[in-house]
Amino acid sequence: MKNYNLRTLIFLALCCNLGLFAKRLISPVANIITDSLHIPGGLSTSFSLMFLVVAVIIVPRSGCATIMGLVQSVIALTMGMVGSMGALSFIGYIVPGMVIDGLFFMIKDINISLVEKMAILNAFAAMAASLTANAIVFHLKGIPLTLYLCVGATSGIACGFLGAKVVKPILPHFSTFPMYNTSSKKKVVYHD
Amino acid sequence: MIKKNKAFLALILLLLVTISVCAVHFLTRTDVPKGKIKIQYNNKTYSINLKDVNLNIVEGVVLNGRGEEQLINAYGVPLLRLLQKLEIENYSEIKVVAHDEYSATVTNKEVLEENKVYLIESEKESMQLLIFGDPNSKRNVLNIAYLVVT
Repeated sequence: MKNYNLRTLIFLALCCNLGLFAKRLISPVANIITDSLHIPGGLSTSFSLMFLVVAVIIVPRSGCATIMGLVQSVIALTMGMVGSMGALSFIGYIVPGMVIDGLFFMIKDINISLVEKMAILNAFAAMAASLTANAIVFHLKGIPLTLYLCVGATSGIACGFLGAKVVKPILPHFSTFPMYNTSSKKKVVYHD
Repeated sequence: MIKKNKAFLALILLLLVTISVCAVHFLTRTDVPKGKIKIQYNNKTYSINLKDVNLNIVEGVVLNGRGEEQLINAYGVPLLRLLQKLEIENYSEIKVVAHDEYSATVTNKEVLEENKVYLIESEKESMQLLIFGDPNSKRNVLNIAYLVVT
């Protein structure tokens, strides 16, 4: 925690809140689409997770997304925004964060573009969120579950593209951060 | 640019897969028109028009997802009465499925219990499952499409 300066913490807190409340904002529109597909959601979660992926790309520290997921779950629980998962909603926030962290650790050194990295992270995080929600609440099987996961993955990739657009102008402002200049740690370099 | 195209290609490919799965989903799912509920029992399917169901005022308290008590005052019908009307008697459980495929199961014992399991009118031409005294609010299925009686 001591390696996070105030600007980083404010940025992470902002991403936490944006992720949490953006979901609420786009839910009515997303629900119209998912209702017409006869599946119980999946679109707004991908958009919400985009902010966690943006944060991990800007602040590439291990456990960053998991901590943010944890913070989101605490905010959601204290504000009563528990959704259909009830008291178990904290699992729904933490699991995608863990997936983002784990996957980011695996792909950070692979020579792929920022857009591809963000698309992969967002797609897998969205699928993890969908699977968690399905295990806790929906209990879908067969074709509806496959469609639910496909919608999550597709919207996850699309949100990955959107996230890359968000990251590109922000990244230069954060490149002076200590984490980018620590000589003992490998500098994470992104390219288009 | 080639790498960017690769990512777009993956998106298009996934979109095609999603459309294909969506087509299969629409072809295989139990289609129920708005304003109706289907009941599947013993390889038979009964269709109930919600306009033909005699609804009475239902009052009681349920727990929401946050564990808070919520007063219910709506028009509804006991599930037992609906089943008796169709002469459905021998069953162990009923799976209540919504239009978005979300489902919950109610046992025979719960259905037989007085003032416990109701179908209430939640929106225009839409019914909701309501189980009074149930600590699991996830079973209050909205926008019911069909019931599978087994």
